[in-house]
This record gives sequence, structure tokens and C-alpha cells, in this order.
Amino acid sequence: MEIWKSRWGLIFATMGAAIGLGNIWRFPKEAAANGGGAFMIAYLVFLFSWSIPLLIAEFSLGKKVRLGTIGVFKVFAGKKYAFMGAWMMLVSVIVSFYYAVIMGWVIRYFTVAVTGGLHADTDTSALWADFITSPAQIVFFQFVAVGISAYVVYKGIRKGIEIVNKILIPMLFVLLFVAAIWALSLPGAINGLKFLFIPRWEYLGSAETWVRALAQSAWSCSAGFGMAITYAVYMNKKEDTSLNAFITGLGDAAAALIAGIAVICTVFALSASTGEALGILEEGDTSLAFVHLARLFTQMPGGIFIAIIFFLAMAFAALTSMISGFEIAVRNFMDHGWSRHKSVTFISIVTFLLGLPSAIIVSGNSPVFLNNQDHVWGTALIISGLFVAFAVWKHGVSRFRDELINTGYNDIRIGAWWDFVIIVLFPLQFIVLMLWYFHQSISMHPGTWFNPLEPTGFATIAIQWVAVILALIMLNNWIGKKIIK
Amino acid sequence: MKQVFALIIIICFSLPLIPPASPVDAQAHYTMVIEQQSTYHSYEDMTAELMNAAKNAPDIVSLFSIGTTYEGREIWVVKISDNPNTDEPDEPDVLYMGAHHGNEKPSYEVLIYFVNYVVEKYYENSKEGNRVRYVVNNREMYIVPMVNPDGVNADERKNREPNYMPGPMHNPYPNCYGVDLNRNYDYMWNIIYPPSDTANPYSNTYQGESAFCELETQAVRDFVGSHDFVISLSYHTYSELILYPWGYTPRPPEDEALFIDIANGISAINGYEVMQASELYLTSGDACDWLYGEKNVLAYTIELGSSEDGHNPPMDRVLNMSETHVYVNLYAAEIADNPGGEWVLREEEISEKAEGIFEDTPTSFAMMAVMIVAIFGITYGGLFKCFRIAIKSEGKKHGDMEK
Repeated sequence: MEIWKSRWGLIFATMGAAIGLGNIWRFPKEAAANGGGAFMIAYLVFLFSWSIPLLIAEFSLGKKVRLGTIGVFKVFAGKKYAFMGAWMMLVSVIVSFYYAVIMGWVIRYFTVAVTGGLHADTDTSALWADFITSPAQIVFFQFVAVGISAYVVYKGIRKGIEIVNKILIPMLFVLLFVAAIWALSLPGAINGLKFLFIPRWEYLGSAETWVRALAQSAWSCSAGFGMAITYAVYMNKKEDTSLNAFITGLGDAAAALIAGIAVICTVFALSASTGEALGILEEGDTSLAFVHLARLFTQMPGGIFIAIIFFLAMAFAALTSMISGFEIAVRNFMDHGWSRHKSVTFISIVTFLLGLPSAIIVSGNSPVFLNNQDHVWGTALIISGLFVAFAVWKHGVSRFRDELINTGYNDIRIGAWWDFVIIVLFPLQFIVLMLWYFHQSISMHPGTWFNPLEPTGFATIAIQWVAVILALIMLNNWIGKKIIK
Repeated sequence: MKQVFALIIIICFSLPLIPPASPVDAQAHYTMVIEQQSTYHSYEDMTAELMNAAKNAPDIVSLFSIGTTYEGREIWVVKISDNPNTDEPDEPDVLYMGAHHGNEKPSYEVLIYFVNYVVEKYYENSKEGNRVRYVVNNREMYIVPMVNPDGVNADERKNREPNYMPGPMHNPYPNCYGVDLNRNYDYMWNIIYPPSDTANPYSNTYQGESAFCELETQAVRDFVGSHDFVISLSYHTYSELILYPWGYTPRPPEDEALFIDIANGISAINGYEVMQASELYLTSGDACDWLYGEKNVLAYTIELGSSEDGHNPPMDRVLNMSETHVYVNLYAAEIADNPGGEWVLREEEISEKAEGIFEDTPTSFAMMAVMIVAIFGITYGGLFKCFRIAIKSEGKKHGDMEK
């Protein structure tokens, strides 16, 4: 089996997997909308009480068992639980179906910016509307996104994933810093800093702030996707699993902060008024990036270069995350005896074909099917996180810590706090998040939440989750049977 | 364990089988008067009359369609200005719309009357003629008497296209027609929490499957997008109100002072009460919120007539409203060159969310600095510490790691 060429290769790869579009366009908006500094506090709390402890467990499991997510659950938790690993894999695969579509949008906007399609007179709303309603363009760029990602994974760990991340992640940080410094240099940027960082304390009293912070942290760090399990399979046997988890989590937060400054300060500095800036931040993710930022960048001389940098950074972030989604699936197929090349070919064709509905089904200017998939599967990784915790519980939490984490190869010792997090905080956080999420999906649609065709209602989540889990439980033995150690 | 799973499965799969609640009329608190009056304009009457005006006064009137409805009617726009076939960018644009709701009859009657009035007075040597000539020669007025001609034809609030279920199959809901066009605009669409039944396709205030999913609102959107409107009046019935944004939130608009200023000017003419739209009830996807929020237009909704008048008052009442609102329309056009002097930014009203955040006080700077240092300290401080440990340990086990 291939092994990472260097520790830094592994670190950059896991950081690349963690840092994605969620950091660049979702974090700034979430922080701004949920109390600025208050949200940041909640976000950091969950970084240490959910994401990093989960990454530690995942790294340790992958390194110990040396199999993808299905194999890890089959070997470590028991034959009956192979379906949990399959769930983890499926969630990340389903997310990559539509993630590739969004990555396609980003590539498209990058090419538009480079070819001079964005200037002060561009009607960016019309640009977006034209693009999102032309399936041929969307599918073309989705195809490009899938193709690039597949090519990297096809080349393998050392020649593909490791090299790409080693180059792109440092560049990503440089690009984000350039965009942030440019934004800070604009007159009026100070209002953005104030809005982003001054805590509005009353938000800490609202459940919504906390739940959103947890969802943001888990999604952003890729904790629960099985990424850490998969990348740990290729670890040198003397590799560390604890410090690397901290680096992944903190690196992810570091990128999010810089992106937050770049985005929020640009919005405040270049909007016509504070009121307009606040209005822009209240709108959806897609219009923030593709309509408003695209427009605002062009308001300043030199802004077009920042637009290019911004969309390039987004494309890099998307690619490095997309790669990890592929590798999670590929690893599982390889555990079943397939070759890497066969697995990559298969999964990339599936990703392209099953991503088509997300690309094509658009109502008005809104990609409704994609939104539905994001709504249903974006939060499913919280369940994956609980499955990992379950595997740990089954083994015995302190035993797990003694045997799998503090192995002597680690650069830092993980203390008993980790046991507390896994035993007490994990189930607590899980229950609160799920209850809030279901409450939200019901109360937002009082007349239609039970209608499975309501794209963000309760029924659509329940049916899709239950159908997948059921199918996996039924197929459990078949899923686990062919795992080749 | 298996039983628990089975139970969960049964519950989850049976949820969709619960029958939907019976469609509720959100406007039920209004006393509806549904008596057809023969003297109102039909769509065909209006079309003929507008064509006639364009034919008789081609030097100041041009008539064009901005879109076709589901049932194939044109959405007519009357442009009244000197040189009506050229866009004169130095003349401020003013927008008048009626019949977003097809059953609100006075809302289009006042606008048809206004067109006839302007055409007649423009050539008249009188005080009123002078006033009309000034406006026509120095403004570009765009009048859309019937945004929703299908609804007018059917005497229905909503338009007439069947509603479809979302999803790939796109099947129609049984016996379910129409979207409330004044809930379908793409500004804060579908955000009322808790939502009214605007999400219910059977409701009279159904917001549509997505913002701007309707031909009529798309037509208005594209039309507004290609002009630079300063002020707009959207006519409805009834309640004798002058409403200004926002409708989606109780938070006052940034330009509240200016809105109230101009609304008081209108109120001085028609005697209606001025209030923020959300004070009446919360709406989302309303035309005025979009016009103001997305296009920076000073957008007003005018609710014509009293509750006694209802949606189709007797014709003498309609005439009375039409005569009064000629002056409202002229006033709106007159102030369009410099409304309220300047766009007023009321600092203290920017947002409840950001209260005090933007003040330049030492405490706010200090708070910001403390938070930036703390948050960057934890993330970047932690990250660099981790890097140091990693580099150190790398040096130690360098020999084995390479193997």
C-alpha cells in the first residue's frame, strides 16, 4: 500500500480536505448573521468539543485498521456494523454529487473573471440568472470539475493527492491573505471588522447560534465524512494522529477567519451603504458569492484581480475537498478488491451522472434539487460522527485512548478530557442538534413539512435518510463480506 | 432493537400520508365583495382604450407589452413622456402598477383613468394642462395597469397557471391554480418565521414554487431591470393606506425618514394613513420590498378605498378615487427628480442586529481589538504551536520516517 511521502504531505492533504467552500462563503455569512464575535466563540467551543476529538478518533481508527470506512466498522466495531461505514461513505459520496456542481460554478466564474467578463458595468444578477438556467453550461463545468478531481485521485496518493495539496494549500492561504489585505486596505473596511468581531452577546443566549456553530464546525472540518479515516490508512506506522487532528481543525478555522475578513470587509467597504451591506449578508450563499461579491469587486480599480484571486481560491478549496470525497469511496472499493483505476473510473462516472439532477433541476434562478440535497445530506455527517463515537464506546473509551491514541508515536498526549467529550458531550450535542434541525424543518413549513416534495421540509429528510439506512442495514452482510484485509 | 427500527420506519413512511390541511384563505379577515360590475374595464376594453390613446397621442404615448401571461394575454405598459420611443436618461423614471391582484378592480381603474387624463390635459391650455405638460416633458412615466390580466379576467386574486409540485415529475396539484404575484418577488422571499400559509399552493396568498417563478413577475423584473426607477406606486385595494417597505420585517427601512416624508405628501392629497407595510401584516416576496431592497426604488403600496368599498366599489366611488389619485400620481412624478433632497441614512435605525456596532467609540474599538487578538491567538497561536511541535518531532524521528 502507498504511504504518504512526508508528514507535511499528509497534513496539507487533510487541511485541503477540511478547507472547502464552507470556509470561504459559508463561514463569513454565518458569523455575520449570528452575532459576529459571539458566533466565533461558539464556533471555537465546538471546534474543541466536536470536530477535533472526532478527527482524533477517525485518524486513530484508520491508522489502526488500515481500511476504508466500511472496513473500519466491520473490523473494529463488528460485522453487524459494516453498514455504519457504508453510511459514512455514502454521505460523502452524495455530497460530492452536488459539490462538483458548485465547483463547476466556481470554475466558470473564474474563467469569466479571467477573460474580462466582469467589469464595472456587468449586471451580475443577469449573469448569474443566464448561467444557472442554461443546463449545457452548468453540465459542462460540472464535467470539468469531476474530471479534474478524478484525474488527481487516479494518479494515486503520492503522485496525485499529496502533490496537489502540497502546492494548492499554501497557495490557497496566500490568495486568501492577499484578498483579505486588499479588503482591509479599502476605506470603510473597519465596519466589516466591527461587524465580524464585536460580539453581540445576546446571541449566545439563543440556541440557534450554538446549533449553527456546531453544524458549521463539523461540516467545515470534514469531521464525520470519513476523510480522516481514509487518509490515515496511508500513514507511516510511526505517524502521529493527535497533533495532526489539531492542525487540521485549527488550520481550517484559520482559513475561515481570513476568508471572513476578506468577504465581510469587501462587502462593507464597497456597498453603497451600511444598509446595503447588511442586506447582502442576509441573502443566500449563492447570491453572496456569485452576484454581490462579483459585482462589488469590480467597483474598485484593481478589483478584477481580486475577483480572479477570490474565485481561484474557491476553486482550489473546492478541488482539494472534492479529491478527499473521491478518495473515501475509492478506498472502500479498493478494500473490496478493485484496482484504484477501476474504482476512480467508476466513482467519477457515478458522481457525474448522479450530480446531473442537482445541475439541471432549476426553478426560477434557484437550483432547487441541489438545495434539497444540501439540506438533506449536509447535516447527515452529524450521524456519521455519532457512529464513530459508537465504535469508540463499544471498544471502551479510555481503553481506546490508551490503545489507539496514546500509542507512543504521538507528539502530544491526549488526556482524560477526550473521554468526557466522547461519552458526555457527543450524545448531548447530537441530540440537541438533531432536535433543532427537525424542529426547524417542520416549523418552517407548517402546511407542507409532511409533504416529501417540499424541498426543505421534514419528510424529505426523513424519507431519504431512512431509505438509505434501511437499505444499508439490509445489505450489511453483503457490504462487509468482501472486505479484503 | 429491530422493533425500534421498525417503529421508526413505520412512522417516517406514514408521515407523508397524512392528508394536507384544507386550503385556508389568508385574506379571510377581509369582507369580500364578489359582485361583478359591468362597468369595470375588461382586459379587452383596456387594451382597446390604451391602443386608442397610443394612436391618438403618438407624440407622448407609446404602448408595448413586457410579457405574455399563461393564458396568452399581454402585460401592457404605457409609457408617457415626450419622445416616448426613445429613452432619455436625464429624465427620472417613475413606475405605476395595478392589479397585481386581479380581483382588486379600482387598482387598474385609477391607472386607466390617469392615462386618459394625461392625454387629454396635455393638449389643454389650462393650469392643469401646464402641470401635466411639465411632468410629461421632464419625466418618463411607465404605467402597468394590469400586471395580472389573467386574474382580472377571472376576477381572481392570483394568476391562473396550475400549481405544480416541486421535483422532477412536476405534476400539478389537483384543482390548484395561481400564485399571489405580490408574494413572488425575489427579495426575502419565503422568509417569514413562522410562515403564514404563503407556502400552501391552495392559499390565496401562495408565494409560488420559487421567487420569480411566474411569467408576470419575471416580466416586471426584467422590465424594471432595464430602467432606472426612482419611485414607484403599486395600487391595491383596500384599507385607505399608504404602505412603505419593509413588509418582511418590523425593522424600519434605512430610508424611513424619506419614505415617511414623501408618504405624508401623498397623504395630504388622498387623506390615507401612512404606515410601514409590516405593521399591517408581515409579507415576504412583496413587490415593494424587492423594488426597494434590490433596485433602490422608493416603492409604495397604496391600498385604495375603505373597507366599505371593498374590492369592487360602485363606479361613482371608483371615479372619485381615480380623480384623487391623478394628483397622487402627478405628485410622485414631480418629486422624482430629487426626492427628499438626499437619500437619508438614519444611523440609529440601520439594524437591530448591529445596534451600536458601528459606533466609533473607544469601547467598540477595544472590544474589536480584544476579540481579534483572542480569536487569532487561539487559532493561529495554536496552529503555529502545533507546527513547532511537529517540526521538532520531525527532526527527532527523521531517520525512521524516511524509510
